[in-house]
Amino acid sequence: MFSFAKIKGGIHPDENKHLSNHKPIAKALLPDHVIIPLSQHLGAPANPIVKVGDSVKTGQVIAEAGGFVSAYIHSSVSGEVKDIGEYPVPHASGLKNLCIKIKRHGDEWHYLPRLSLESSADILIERLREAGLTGMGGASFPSNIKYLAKDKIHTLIVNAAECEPYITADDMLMRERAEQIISGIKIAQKILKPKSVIIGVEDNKTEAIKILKKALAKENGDKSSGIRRVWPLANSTTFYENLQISLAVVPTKYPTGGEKQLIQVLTGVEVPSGELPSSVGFLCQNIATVAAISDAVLEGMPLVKRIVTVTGRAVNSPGNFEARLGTPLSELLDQAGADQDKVSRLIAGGPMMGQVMKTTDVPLVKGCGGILALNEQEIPQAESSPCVKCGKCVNACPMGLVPLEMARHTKYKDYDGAVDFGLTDCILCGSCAYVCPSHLPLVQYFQFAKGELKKQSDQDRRLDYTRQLSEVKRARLKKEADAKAAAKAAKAKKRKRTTNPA
Amino acid sequence: MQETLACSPHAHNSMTVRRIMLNVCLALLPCTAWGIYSYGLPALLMLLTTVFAAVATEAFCLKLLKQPLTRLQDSSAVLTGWLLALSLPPWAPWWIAVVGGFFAIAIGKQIYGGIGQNLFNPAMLARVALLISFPLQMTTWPLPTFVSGYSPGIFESFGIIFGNTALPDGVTGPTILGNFNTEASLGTSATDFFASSFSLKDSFFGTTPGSLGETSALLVLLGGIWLIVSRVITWHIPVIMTLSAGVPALLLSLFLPEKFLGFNFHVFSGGLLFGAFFIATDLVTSPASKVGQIIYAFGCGFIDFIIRVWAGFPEGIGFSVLFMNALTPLIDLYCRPKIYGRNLNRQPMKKNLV
Repeated sequence: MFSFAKIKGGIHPDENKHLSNHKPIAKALLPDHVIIPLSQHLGAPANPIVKVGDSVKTGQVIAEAGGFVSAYIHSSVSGEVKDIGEYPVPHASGLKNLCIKIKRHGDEWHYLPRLSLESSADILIERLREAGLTGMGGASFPSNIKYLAKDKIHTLIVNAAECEPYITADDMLMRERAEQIISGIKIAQKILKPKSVIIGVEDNKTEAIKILKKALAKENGDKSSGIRRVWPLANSTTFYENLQISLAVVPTKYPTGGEKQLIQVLTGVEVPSGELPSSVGFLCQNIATVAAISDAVLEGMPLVKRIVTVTGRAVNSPGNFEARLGTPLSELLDQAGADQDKVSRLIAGGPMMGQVMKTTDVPLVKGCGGILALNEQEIPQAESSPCVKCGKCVNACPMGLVPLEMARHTKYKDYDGAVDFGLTDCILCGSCAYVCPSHLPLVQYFQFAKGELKKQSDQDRRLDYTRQLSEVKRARLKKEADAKAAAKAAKAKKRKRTTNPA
Repeated sequence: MQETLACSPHAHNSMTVRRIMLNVCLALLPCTAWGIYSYGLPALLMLLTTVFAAVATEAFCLKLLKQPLTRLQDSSAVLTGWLLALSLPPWAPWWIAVVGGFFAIAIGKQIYGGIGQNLFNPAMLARVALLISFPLQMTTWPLPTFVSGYSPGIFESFGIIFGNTALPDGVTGPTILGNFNTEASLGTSATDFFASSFSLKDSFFGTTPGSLGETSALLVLLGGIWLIVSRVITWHIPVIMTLSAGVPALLLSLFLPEKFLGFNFHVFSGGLLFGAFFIATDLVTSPASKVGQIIYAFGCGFIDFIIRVWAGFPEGIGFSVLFMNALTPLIDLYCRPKIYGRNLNRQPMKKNLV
């Protein structure tokens, strides 16, 4: 399985990974209290099953999946439920959302029963659900749903590209826990039975690549020739093949770590517009999720912690922390030595797609791999000016869209026009805004336009529903009227017959 | 902590419109310096007058449109004036410079709604307007001072640009393109003309008469390469535009050497290179996508070649660029990049288990 493919467009922002990529993963101090949002994943929020005053253990379920696309939530510390209420959550709106606040008394664990590779695929998928696993790369899609499409999958792609600048959490995970990753991949293989498994890593993570190669060679049982370098072309993807799992080193370029882009660069296949990767037989899983799968299955450990990079130039000692979910960001920032006076922008996620936090009180959630405290010099300052139609955005777009036209149509509230130039295919990666010499807030335009479109389609759906209801009603009334008329006619006929016996 | 509600991305490559404009100005320095060296103080006065007229018009229009004067900082008016001046005869009188600068900014740009909105390249629009309105002044080409031996002093220079000082005999001459048009109409064959009048060295280093900035192919190339290196433009437009005038010239001169001049003549004389690197690459008026840029550049070069060879004007860069500018919205409409996950008709690709 080789590919010459490259992603279209893309950019090379300053990586800034050197700030934290030499720091081993440190265990973050356990916080006094955790605030656990009930909606950390894509889909319906979870339903709380604990009451205020209940005592809970680490790993105990505190909220059940609220629908098919939803996820279990577990307590990340042991202690007492203090409150179920609205708290600020990591969302750009700065709005509050339903959370469970737990005061920590200790760290007593409640594990799920351990499973092994011998367990059946269905049991393993059920375990992913029980353990509350969601994608840990950012989108937080419930993992078990992805694996339900197992019969369609021919290729498992493990996403270790980590193309967002600054963030080094996955890098450190690969360096320190390669065996765990491989056992996670084996579990995924057991469920999916894919024809091939590819780990995609950007070539800026040389250390992690070395360690993964070694681990894969060991896995292969052949130290001398376990790993074969198959694709020695400069500036294109290099494949290292093993019997079961191949490692692909892709050129560093943002946004190679986007699901669609990684599939493209590794295989040359494009995911059809509006479809999931499974529609063309791919399952793409973030490497941190793969490691969490191993924990969930082999250790019986639900998803209650994750590795997060706390970095930025307003932080004195940036680093990678293994922290419990629900830990307030303020505590993590303190542990990394953030200088509150120097912080001019606090971001959950990476600089390209992360969201601004208005307060440090928000908790760490499943999909958050980075916390950035940027100082004034690190954030773009220039004011926006009119578009000069330079087309740099068109060349930077990895999806082949025309951002300048999308923005222009959005500005004039012509959302259909924006769709015509590709709005629905926009992945909001921000490459266009990164290169825009007019400093236009393009991503903001597109988020807004997408929101408006959603509003529109919701409204249409509602109208449609009302229309259907009224049609049903009209049909029912007509039917009743017809029946009445028929009955009347029959009666009249009968009467006629009886009155005119002739 | 500061309250900010900024949208992602929180990083930028720190390019600004102003920096792009200043980079182009920087790239113009070598050929401008050569122009001023060749044509003396009058050329400098003409350049300054044009730039001043352009900036003053911009300021006036911004004021009229109630827009902040800080918009001037983007330096686009300076660049427009500068480009216009470089495309004028070096000793064009002051009123040509002023009318040109005003026309470029007011009619060429602000009437459309200011920067980014204009359909046509403002400098070329002004140049063509001047050429049609004032054909005499726009085709009076002084010889470089080191050729004619006439280098006007301060007083004379002011006289040439701002006064009515008549030029002495023998200090003007035709451009090589114009010369060939005249000679060809007199029946001189292209082969003879090429042997007697064309010198690649002169065109390359810039010792023949012509517009202020276009004479030295070498220095234009130098500036153009800087533009590509500093990523203001890509190679597509200049290279394709040059080739689409040069290759037809090459082919025709191979088959009909008596009538047509070759690659070197067409590429290195006149304003083709200057137009290819500095005029056609204007961000606002060229297509946004790569495919669109290729079509556009081909049109610019090929139409210029047609005008040079078969039309009444010896040089056609201005016309060909304006013509392609008019087509740019159409090109942009039809030449969009292929969207990921969609086919060329922009329909979603078929689900296909590979």
